[in-house]
Formats: sequence, C-alpha cells, structure tokens
Amino acid sequence: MAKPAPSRILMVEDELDIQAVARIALEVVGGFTVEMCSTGSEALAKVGGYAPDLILMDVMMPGMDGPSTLRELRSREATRGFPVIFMTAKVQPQEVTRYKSIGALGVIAKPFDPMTLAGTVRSIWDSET
Amino acid sequence: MSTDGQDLQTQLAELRLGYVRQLPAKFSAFEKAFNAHLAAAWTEPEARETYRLIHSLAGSTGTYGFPEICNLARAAEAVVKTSVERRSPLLPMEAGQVRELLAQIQGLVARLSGTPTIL
Repeated sequence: MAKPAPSRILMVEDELDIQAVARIALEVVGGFTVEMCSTGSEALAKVGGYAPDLILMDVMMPGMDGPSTLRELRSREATRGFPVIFMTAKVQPQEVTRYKSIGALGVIAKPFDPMTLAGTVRSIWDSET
Repeated sequence: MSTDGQDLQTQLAELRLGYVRQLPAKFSAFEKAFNAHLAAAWTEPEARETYRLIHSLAGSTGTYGFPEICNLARAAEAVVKTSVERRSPLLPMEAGQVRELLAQIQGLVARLSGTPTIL
C-alpha cells in the first residue's frame, strides 16, 4: 500500500540563499510545510521533534555532509525510517546509485527550477514509496 | 490565480534582486579565501573549505539563474577538486586556470551589479 502523500518536509541546506528559493518552491508552489536546517547536526537534533514526512538534504555541507547525516539517521532507531531525498550538483548515474545504496529515496539535481521542485519531490515519492 | 502567480514571481524576483546585490561580496569572499589558501602552507581542511566555497558559489548562481557564472564556477570547482582529491596544493597551471576563471566571473559579476571591474 502506497504511503500517503508527504506534506511536511525537513530541508537541510547550508546556503541561506538556496534555502530562501527552496522555501518558496516548496511552500508557495508546492503547498508543503517546511522546516529548514543549515547543518546535518541541526537536522539530527530537530528531526525527532518535527517528525517530517520527508527530508530533503544537500550533499555537500560543512561539518557533517549529507551522506554522513543519512548514515547517522539510519543508525538510530528513532530516525531510521525517515525518507531522505538528496539534492546535489553531482548527479552522475553512479552517484545516484551510491546515494540510493546508503538509503536515499532519490536524488534531485541542482540547480533546481523553483517552479518544478515540488513536482519532482512528489514524483520521486510516488515512484519510490 | 494570476494574482497568486504574480505574487510568486514578485517574491522570486525580489529574492533574485537581493542575491545580485550580495553577489560581489560573495565572490570577493571566495577570491580572498582562494588567495589565502594559495599563499599559506597547504592544509586539507583549508583545501576542502575552498572547494566548498566555490561549490556554493556555483550552486547559488545556478539556482538564481546565472548559468554563465555557474558554469565558470563549476569549472573552477573541478580544478580545486583535483587538488583536494590529490591531497596536495594546486599546481601552478591549475592555480592559473582558477585565476583565469575567477577573472571571468568577476567581469560578469561586475556587469550584473553595475560596478566597474578593477583590473
């Protein structure tokens, strides 16, 4: 049975400029409710309390990068079930395979189009859950 | 619906305008970091930070719709990345390549922001 459509997103992105565009893309265009984090550590601290339907996460971040944060999420019983979609400029097929092998639902290429980001998120969700 | 569409476009346009205003400072910050990285003894954390900064510049310029700058920044990122993966300083030729790319970016940023390029 397919999971219900997501409505709450935890986004993990260190660039404030990209956070601003993504918020518009997801909230105004997509109708999602979005909580922003700037680091992997912040995401780990917030995820339990916010309980998102989905985590959208940048790959390259200072400190704990996206894949490290995902591995940490998967290692904790309370957080291992949160679906994660990565966002990165590095979207070679082998990179997508690698990210999926560590538990990501999918990968969205950067730069993203703010008018279509929400639709892309939903497409990945629908095809992978 | 058209009002919502206009509001959305207005919001995005305002964000873009704000980004263009900040772009000279962002570029300057990367250029400073890059020059400091070249001048000092190579360390891996600094190399990775330089790589992350140029990666961020490429990412944000792409997201905000400046593909020319984004492509130049990506090219510079690729050169810096080879140094990071090799765990050794940029070779003189590589440093020259990055400087050339940064000069091109500087010109485009200056044109966008309407400020004269200092040569």
